[in-house]
Amino acid sequence: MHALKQIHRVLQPRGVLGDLRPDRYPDPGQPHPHLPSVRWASGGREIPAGVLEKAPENLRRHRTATLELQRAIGEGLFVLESTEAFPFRYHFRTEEIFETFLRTGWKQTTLGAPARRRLHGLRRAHPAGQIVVIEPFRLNVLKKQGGG
Amino acid sequence: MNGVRRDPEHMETRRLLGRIAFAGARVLEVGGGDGRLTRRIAGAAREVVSVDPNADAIARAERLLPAHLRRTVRFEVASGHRLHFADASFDIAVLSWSL
Repeated sequence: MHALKQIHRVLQPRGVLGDLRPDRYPDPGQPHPHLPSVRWASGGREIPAGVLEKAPENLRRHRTATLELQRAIGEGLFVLESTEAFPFRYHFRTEEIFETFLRTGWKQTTLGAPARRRLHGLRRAHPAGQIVVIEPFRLNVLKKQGGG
Repeated sequence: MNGVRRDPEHMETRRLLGRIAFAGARVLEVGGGDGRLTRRIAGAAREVVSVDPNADAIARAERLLPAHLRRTVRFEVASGHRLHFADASFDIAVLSWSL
């Protein structure tokens, strides 16, 4: 909430805020998060292998972010002008690069054993391909309300 | 990292530039990281100030910034929780995966 108050302060009256982030909890009350899907892309097809699991602290952070945005709107700092979900795609040239990225870039993320096995199987069946991860994403556009 | 492409389809940029009028705007990007999105939006704005608390990411963003954007873009190590900028000094703020 503090960051949103800071942004409210530095924005011009009627200034615009774009909030871009993974669409884990579009509704903070929903029981299950939207998780990134992992696919094997080969020959113009994308075959699902499973989803990436996120650590509880990651899920809590995303739920809190949605709640904070709702609070800022409720307190009259911003008004929501538009909201749009879209897929954000990562392309990994090899499985090794994907594994390295999982270890170093996505520290609160794991690929479960069944999805990993399926991915190996898909690579063996269709060697010419790459991994695509599709992260559900959202852009919220808000307009500053009030002075300051 | 080599071998990883993030949003090569520009889905994120297309939506952002399609929903918000960047022309002539002074933009604050919070959580800009290594400047991936900064470089994509900078050409549409008058000025972009991109902040991130990670000094290594900011150093990488500065290295990766093309020469033709150096007059438009400034990177700073800073947190969105402590912005030192003047009141009402930006037209647009972008929370880049940072709320």
